[in-house]
Amino acid sequence: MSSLPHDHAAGEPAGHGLGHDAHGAHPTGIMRWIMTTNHKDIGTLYLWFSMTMFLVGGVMALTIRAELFQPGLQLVEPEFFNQLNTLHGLIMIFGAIMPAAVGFANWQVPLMIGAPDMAFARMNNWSFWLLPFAGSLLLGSFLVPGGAASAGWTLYPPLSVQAGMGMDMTIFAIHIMGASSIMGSINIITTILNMRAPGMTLMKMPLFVWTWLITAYLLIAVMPVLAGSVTMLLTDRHFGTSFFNAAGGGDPVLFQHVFWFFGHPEVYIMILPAFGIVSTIIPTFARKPLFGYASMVYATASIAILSFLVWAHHMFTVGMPAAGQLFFMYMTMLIAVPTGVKVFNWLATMWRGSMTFETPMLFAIGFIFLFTMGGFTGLVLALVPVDIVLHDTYYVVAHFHYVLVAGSLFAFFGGIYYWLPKWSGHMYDETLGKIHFWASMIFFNVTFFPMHFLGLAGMPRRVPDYAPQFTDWNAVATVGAFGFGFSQVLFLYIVIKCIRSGAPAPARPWDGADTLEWTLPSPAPYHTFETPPQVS
Amino acid sequence: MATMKTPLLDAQGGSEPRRVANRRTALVLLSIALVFFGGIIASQLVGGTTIGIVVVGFGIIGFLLVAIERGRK
Repeated sequence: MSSLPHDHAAGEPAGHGLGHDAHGAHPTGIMRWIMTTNHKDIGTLYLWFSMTMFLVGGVMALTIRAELFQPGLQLVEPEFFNQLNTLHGLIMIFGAIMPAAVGFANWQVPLMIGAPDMAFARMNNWSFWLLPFAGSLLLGSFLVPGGAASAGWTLYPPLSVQAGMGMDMTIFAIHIMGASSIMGSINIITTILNMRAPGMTLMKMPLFVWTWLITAYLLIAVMPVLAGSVTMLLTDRHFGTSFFNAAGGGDPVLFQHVFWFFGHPEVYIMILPAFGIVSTIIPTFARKPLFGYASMVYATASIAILSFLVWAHHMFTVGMPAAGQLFFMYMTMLIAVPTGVKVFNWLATMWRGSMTFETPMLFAIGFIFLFTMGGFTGLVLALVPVDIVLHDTYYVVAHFHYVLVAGSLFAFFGGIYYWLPKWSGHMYDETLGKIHFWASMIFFNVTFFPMHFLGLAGMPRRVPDYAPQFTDWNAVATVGAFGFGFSQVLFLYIVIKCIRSGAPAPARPWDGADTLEWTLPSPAPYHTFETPPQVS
Repeated sequence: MATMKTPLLDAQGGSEPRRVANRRTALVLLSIALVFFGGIIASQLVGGTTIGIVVVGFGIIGFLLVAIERGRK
C-alpha cells in the first residue's frame, strides 16, 4: 500500500498543484464539459452518463417486472418485451456499469498514483464523447422499423442474422463503445505504467489502481474480439458471408464460442474495479492495513487469467465432448480459489479492527455478503449436470444479478459515498445514505432471492408470460423491484443534495484513509500533482 | 517495452521523454488490440478457431506476465 508523502502531515492539504486552481483558470460553461481534457471533469461526465443510463435501464427493468407481475400479457407486446430485455442488458453493461468503472478510474487513478492527469488527455475526451452517440444509437433503435434488437444481449444467431435494422444500430453502437473502451484502457494502462509519482512502485500502488490495471488489460484483450465477432455478424447480414449463418454453411455455435470468449472476461471487467473499491473502503473503516496486499494482487491477476479459460461454461447445453465439459467445469470451480482469497482477506482486514459503519462501509460489507452468495450460485451453475437443468432459467438471472447488482453496483455506491466528499467538497447526508443502503439491501433481496426458487422450479428466462404456479414469487419479485427502483431515486437525491448544499468536507473526512488523494484539499483542486509528490 | 523499466516520474524531468514513452506504450497496446480484432476474423476465415483462440489467449497471458515482471520493483 502506498503511504502519505513524507513531506505532508496526514490530513493536511498538500501544497502542490494549487496554483492553477487558485487562479480559477479553467474554462466554464457548457464548453468546459465538451472540450475538457481534465481527468476530473471527464470522470464526472462518465459518472453522470452512467447514472443516466442506469435510470434508463432501470425503467426498462421495471417495465419488464410490471409485465411479469402476474401471468398473461398485461402491458407490452411480446416483441417489445424481448427488445426491452435485450436493451436492458446492453444498456446496464455497456452504458451503466462499465462507464461508472471508467469514471472512478478517471477520477481516482491519477490522484492515487500522484499523476497530474491521464497520459492522453485529448484521447480521454474522445473516449467519453463517443459514448453518448453509442447510447443514442441503442435507444434510437426502438424507433426504427422492426424495433430494437431482440435477440438478447448475447446477440446469438440465427435471431441476430435475421433481425431488422435495429440490430445494425446495435452492432454499430457496440463498435463505438468498444473503441471507447479500448482508448480508455490504453490511457489507463499508460498512465499507471508511466506516470506514477517517484517512490510509487507497482507493489505500493493502492489496490484500486492494481485492479484497474488488470481490468484495462482484459479490456484490450477482449473488446477487439467482441468487435470482430459483431463485424462478422454484420458481414453475414449484409455482405453474403456465412460465418454464423447455417443456411450458407456457417455455424451459429461458433458465434457463441467467440462471444463468450469476450463475455466471460467481461464479467470480471465489471467486477474487478468493484473489488478495488471494496479493498480501499474496508481498510479505511476497519482502521487497519489491507490484510494480504500481495496475495490480493496475485489473486486479481489469477482471476483475470482464469477468466479466459472458462467461456464454454455458458454453453454446456449446445453439445460438446465430455472432456470439454469437464475442463470448463473444473476451470470455473478453480476461479473460486483466488476469489475466496479475496473474501478471506477482506474479512481478515476487518478482524479486530476499530470498525465504524458509515455508508461506504455498509455497502462494502453488503457487497461481500451478497457477492459471496452470487459466487456460490456460480459454483452451483459450474456443475455440468446441474447447469444442464438450470440453463436459461431464472436461477441464472438470480445468479448474475447477485454478482453484478449486489456486486458491482453496491461497490460503486460505496465508492461514490466514499469519494464524494473529495469530489464535491461536501459531505453527504449520512442518515439518508444509511436509509439508501438498507432500502437497497432489503429490496434487492426481495427482488432477486425469489428468482432462485423460480429457476429451481423451472421458470424459463426471457419470457413475457408464464405458467400460473410461478405467480406468487413473481409478484414478490416485482414488488421488490419497484422498491429497489425508488431507492435509487433517493440515491440521486442524496448525491444532488450533497453537491448543492452538503456540509463542507475536510481534506480527509475518513481518519483511516491513507492514499494520496486525501493529502489534497476537498474538493480536489482542478489541477493536482503538477509537481509529483514523493511517496515514502 | 523499455518504458516499463523506467516508469516512475522524474520530479525534475521534462515532459518530452515522458510523452515519447507514453506514445510507445500506447502503440504497443493498440497493436495488441488490432491483432486481436484482425486475428479473430482471420482465424474464422481460415477455419482454425480453436488454434486461433488458444494462440490469442496465451498471447494475452504471456504479455501480462512479462509486463508485470518487468515493471515489478
